[in-house]
Amino acid sequence: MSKMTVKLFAGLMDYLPVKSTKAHGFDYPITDATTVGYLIDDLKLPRNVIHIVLLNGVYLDAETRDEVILKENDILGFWPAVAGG
Amino acid sequence: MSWTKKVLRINLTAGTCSPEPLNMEWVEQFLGQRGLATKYLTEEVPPTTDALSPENTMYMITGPLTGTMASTAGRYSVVTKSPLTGAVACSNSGGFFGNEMKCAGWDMVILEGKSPSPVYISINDDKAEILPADEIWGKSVWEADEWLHTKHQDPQLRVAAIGVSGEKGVLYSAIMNDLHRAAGRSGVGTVMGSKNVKAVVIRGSKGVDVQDPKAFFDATNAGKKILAENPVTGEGLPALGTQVLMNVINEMGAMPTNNWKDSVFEGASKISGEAMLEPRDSDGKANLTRNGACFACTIACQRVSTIDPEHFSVQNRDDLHPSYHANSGGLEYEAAWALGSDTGVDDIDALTYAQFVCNEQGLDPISLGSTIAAAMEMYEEGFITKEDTDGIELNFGNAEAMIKCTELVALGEGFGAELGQGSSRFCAKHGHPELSMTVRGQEFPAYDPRGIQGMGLGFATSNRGACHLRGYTVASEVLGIPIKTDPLETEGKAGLQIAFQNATAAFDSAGICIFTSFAWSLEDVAPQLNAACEGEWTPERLGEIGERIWNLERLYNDAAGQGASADKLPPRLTEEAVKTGPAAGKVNGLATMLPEYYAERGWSPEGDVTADTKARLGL
Repeated sequence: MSKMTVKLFAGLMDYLPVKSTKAHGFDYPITDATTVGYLIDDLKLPRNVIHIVLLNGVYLDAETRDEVILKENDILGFWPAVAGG
Repeated sequence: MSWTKKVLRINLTAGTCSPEPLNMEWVEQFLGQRGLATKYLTEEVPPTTDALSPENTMYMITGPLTGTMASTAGRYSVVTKSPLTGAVACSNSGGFFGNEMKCAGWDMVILEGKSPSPVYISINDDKAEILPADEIWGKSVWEADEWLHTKHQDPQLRVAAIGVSGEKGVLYSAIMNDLHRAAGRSGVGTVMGSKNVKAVVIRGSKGVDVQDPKAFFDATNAGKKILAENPVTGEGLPALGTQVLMNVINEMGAMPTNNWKDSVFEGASKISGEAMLEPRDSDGKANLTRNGACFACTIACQRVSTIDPEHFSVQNRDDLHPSYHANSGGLEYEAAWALGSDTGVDDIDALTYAQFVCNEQGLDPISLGSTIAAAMEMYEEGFITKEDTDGIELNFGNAEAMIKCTELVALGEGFGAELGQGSSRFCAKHGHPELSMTVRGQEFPAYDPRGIQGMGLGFATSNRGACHLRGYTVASEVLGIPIKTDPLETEGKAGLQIAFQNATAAFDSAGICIFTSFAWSLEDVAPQLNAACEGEWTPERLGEIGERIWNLERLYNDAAGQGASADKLPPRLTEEAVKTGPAAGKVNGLATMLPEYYAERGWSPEGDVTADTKARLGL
């Protein structure tokens, strides 16, 4: 089975499978039909908190991201609404 | 009325302190703080003035909401002509100094001329004095603060002071207030030092009146509710501070690394906000102890941190101020980037130490880190050698070298005195001006505009030199506030940048923190102003005031030789493509955006403010 990397940041670190702030990322197994939407539900990530989703560094907008199919070695990062400066 | 309508003018040459009325006609046009003091500057200081001469004047000014219970209403600004850029300087700070100035009965304190010997200014309500500072000249901000509190026997005294760097003419010295808050950019601390002023201390007991107390509480409570319920201002900033950005910006490939040679920093996660929460091996504590807040702030983004006691920067260092071994003002994103990824250093304790030094000695960590990074590239390329660097092996990633340079600049000594002139002068002196990552001589903040296109236009047109706090389109291009735009596209960025620049100028003139703008629009600010003070402040009028301020700053810069000819980026950003990451292959499209920007601003194709635009804005 193929795998890709999921990264959870800021307040979403609470949803890391093993509670650890040392690593933001973990491997996630995928088939050739695994979508971002499936992954979000499978990991029980709170949809009302997820704000920024970057697939290999590129922003996925909220309207279409659920349908995006993941590929081997993809890196998918999730953040709540954040800002600074 | 939240105006005191009083200005304290201090002539250091003559040794006089004189009250005068605030120009309320200018308030109508420029609101307060950034806008109003810029108007005073343009009327009183000719644009060609030498910034470090007695003819330059420094304005410490509050906004109409400063000192009230509106959220974040502790802000004040320092406006002057910048010695780093030769352009207008306006640096904004929080803490508790601005509100104390208002409570003492002053909207603004003006420092003009030059004292013949080191002094500090003491203001206690109506009483203002120029007092000798010989005993604290040569001391750090933290030492001066302690001496002043002891001398005045008043724990509530608020102190704004410069460190040794400001006395020694380091061109990016900051004015620190309340130990850890900074009017940080463009060398406003250097101007204060050039006037032989070590500190301004204020104690106010008058309070601040508002025009309609009931309406004011309703409006400010509504504003606070919005901040509390917004995920950025209510959760993200209190939890992780500005440092929450480190991983986001790096993952999207816009993290300037090794003097902008690269746009992805391998060590980013080790110096991120998330890393500040990780327990360390030595004492089991995390870098971050807690967050903190400025006056009246309901966001509370400040970091309070400790350095690993076993880290080389502090271990067996009895010579250091005790704060280095305890909780102090912790790492912010801009400092972590400039001192960290830009120099290739991924050691979070080294960065925290360098941030403490910047606070203690009053330094802008952005300009400092960027200048060290430029010197590192010069060193690795062989353009400078150990003979130039006081023997320091100045390679990227060398934490000891970064710290040594920081310490030398803080004291303005040896190689540090040269680095203290900023990267533009440093790189030019050694024959490679193209390696200075600056606009108008001021160093860039932490966003690669090859990966965030609108920021390139913002940097190039920023009136105070490269800066993220003049038009933060990162909010839209990366974070989706208020709407998401594509960071790799140039289309529409001229209008977006103008909207951000104008609104920011209005926020900066109101006495509140720009971080409220992650949740508030001018629609939320207007009712708070209307309840606090006289005048009909509509969102439309505030937007126009913002535009007027922007154009006034531009006109001053034009006359100072820092206008359209300085609207450019270093060749690295417009000619060298990003090597790796999501923005690979991209350069910044400034040439496409700039003509649109000039047109939408109502300026000539050459970038000059037209007569029509001046007339429309009453300039």
